[in-house]
Amino acid sequence: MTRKISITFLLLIFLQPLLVLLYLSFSTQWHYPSLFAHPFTTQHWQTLLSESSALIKSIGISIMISTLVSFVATGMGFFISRGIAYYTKSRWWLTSAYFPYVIAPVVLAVMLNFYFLKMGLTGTFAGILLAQLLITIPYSVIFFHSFWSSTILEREYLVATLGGNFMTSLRHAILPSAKGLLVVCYFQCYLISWFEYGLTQYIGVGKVETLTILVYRYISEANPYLAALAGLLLLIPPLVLLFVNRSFFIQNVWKS
Amino acid sequence: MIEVRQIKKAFNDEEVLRDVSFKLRENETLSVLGASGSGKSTLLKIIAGLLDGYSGTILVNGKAIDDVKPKNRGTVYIYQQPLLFPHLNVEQNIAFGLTIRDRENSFIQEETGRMIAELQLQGQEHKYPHQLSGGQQQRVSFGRAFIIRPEMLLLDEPFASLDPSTRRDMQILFKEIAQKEGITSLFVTHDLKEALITGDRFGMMSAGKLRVFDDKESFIKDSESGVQEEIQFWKEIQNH
Amino acid sequence: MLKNTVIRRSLAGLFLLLCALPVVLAMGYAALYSVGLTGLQSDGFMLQHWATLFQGEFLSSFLYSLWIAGASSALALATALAALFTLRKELTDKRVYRMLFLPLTVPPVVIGFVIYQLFSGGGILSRVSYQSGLIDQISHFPEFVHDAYGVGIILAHLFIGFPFFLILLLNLYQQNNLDELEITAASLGAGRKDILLRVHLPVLLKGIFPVVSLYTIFFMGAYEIPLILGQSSPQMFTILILEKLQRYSLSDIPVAYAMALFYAIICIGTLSWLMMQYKKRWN
Repeated sequence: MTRKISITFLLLIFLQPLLVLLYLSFSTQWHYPSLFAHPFTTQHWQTLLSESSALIKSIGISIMISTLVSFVATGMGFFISRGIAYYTKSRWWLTSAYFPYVIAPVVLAVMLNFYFLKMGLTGTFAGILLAQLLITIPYSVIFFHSFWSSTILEREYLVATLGGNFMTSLRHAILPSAKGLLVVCYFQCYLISWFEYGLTQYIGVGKVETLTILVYRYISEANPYLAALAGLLLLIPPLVLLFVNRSFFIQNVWKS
Repeated sequence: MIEVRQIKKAFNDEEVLRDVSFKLRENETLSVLGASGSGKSTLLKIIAGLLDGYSGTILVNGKAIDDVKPKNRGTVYIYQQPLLFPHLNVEQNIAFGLTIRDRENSFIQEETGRMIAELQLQGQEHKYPHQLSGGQQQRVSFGRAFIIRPEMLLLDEPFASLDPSTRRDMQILFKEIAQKEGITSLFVTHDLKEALITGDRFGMMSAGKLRVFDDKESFIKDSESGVQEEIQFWKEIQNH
Repeated sequence: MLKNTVIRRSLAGLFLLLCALPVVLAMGYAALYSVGLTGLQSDGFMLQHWATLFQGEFLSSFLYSLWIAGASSALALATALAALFTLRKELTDKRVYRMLFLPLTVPPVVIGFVIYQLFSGGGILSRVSYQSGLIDQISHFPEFVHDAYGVGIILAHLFIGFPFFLILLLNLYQQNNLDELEITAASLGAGRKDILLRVHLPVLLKGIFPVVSLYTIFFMGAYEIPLILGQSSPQMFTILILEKLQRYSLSDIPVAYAMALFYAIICIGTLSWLMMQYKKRWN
């Protein structure tokens, strides 16, 4: 009985962000010390659906950035990791791929800002894309490194001895085994980009307003209701992923 | 002396052990031969106290131990996998049973050194399990069990995952050390030669029933043990 | 052979361009700025900005960040171990196991916001305390956010760290056959305490150490959560870096770059050390 209560308690703790955000997104004028005695409203959700909504615009920007970043990072990381796995021997190659990822993204942004300024990329969409690629490509390289095993190499050799070129090898020896991982890496990079705040805020100087930037803006404006709504929108893609692809997270515990 | 009386065990209405009874004298190895699914592992687990829900009784020196917890039975179960503690080196793995009994360091060192020499593991003392071969790991597993002089050793096909030549070396080594250390053991295998090398007495397990032979001759002569078939096979090979 | 060399060089070049070069450029610029060789107030080589790093608010900030990172990791690991040993059977149920991934779907900025809404003076817990008569004024509610010990930040990190460490511990438990090792140890005469201290904990702690070390670095470099929940002084290292860069005093900028470089060196140094300790795992 105690165990069941403990598990239920844990579940409630894990669900509390969702519950708190939902509650606030329908609340307004929530003065201290009332708990439930305040007006509830759908006006914030209606704001979301209006055309000029900053939220809609932010969702669009976030989706575009995350989609592009994850597509490019997955593709490039896939092939770069092949190069490292097949053609290098020192483990320092793989270790150095961790460096951009392990230094806090915002600290990396601070140190690289000079170059972004010189290239005219500060405060631009392209600048944010590049900045996020600098952390997602190395992640993708690390992610795919263990895929390039001797089994895949032997399959490539087999295709070559049967007269195939690299494209044949890709189509028949590599992609069939890599499909699942490519999808997983895409979604992992998508989430890294989707959640990103510090680096995006610094390089974007607030001009490229992604959903995370908007959440923080509403928090600083002391508008917890819109912040909650924006926060809920941030939660949707990962929650959908967790629900739709149950093994997506579970099988990649070590990779993350 | 260990006595097992009329052990019966069923899983989901399927009888796995049917009235299994035998006696095991001190310092003796009973080798039990049987195919997969004959109930050998189930019998070992019941004796070790790892399975309940059976009828019958197990007696050690006349005292029933059915309600005694595994750690207090004085039986050590040796699996097919060595199951060495990965964070301890060879020396520490072998010494484990003495360390937890708070024996003096000098005694532990002496006994561990002696066991390492007997198991021919000199030079490997400071290596960790992942640095050892399968045969070496299994020797460490034996050393860990032998050093605490258990009432009974329960061996569940301990050499099954080894290559043939290592397996043979291990069978002979086990026999030598078991006799020298005076260990009582129940050795379960599906390999006829292994049973013959390691055992003092022999048993055959089939469909949950155990037949025990009091000596090697009666085991060899029995038509179901497989020995006669084996002899016949090699004779035919030789004649051709 | 020629083709392989071309491919090898191209891929290595691409790797260096996209992964290694940005870090080198970043640290290079920060190094130059921090010693006065470039930047708005470059007066030639000097080390005084580095000297400032180890005193006053900078030292306090660094120590505060170390405290937050260490406390967050330690608490997350302790609670995960406690959950593992008390609820392991329930946690191996697929439905329960899946729920451990829920916190991983929440971005740091949202966690910070929610912790604020729960634990601040005007937050949900304060309201519940007031309504249940535990406090009669808002000022009587204890400080959990913007406080000296970073309780709110640590709680937010616990929300991330606890489920992640627990997932890893569950996997480590299974991969290392700890159930069977427990039986083996018990049959060798080990009691519950011996099994916990001599078998379970050493194996699990050894296995999880690299991840806990990495997470400690991540917690130390946290930005979004301390931005919402942290106090004004001392601040977390990353917050102070950005504050120094974005405020009005130009003389703070070289120090900010020195701080950034210092932090990057610690991260890279720790990672490299970990890599050397755990060669096989990294291969």
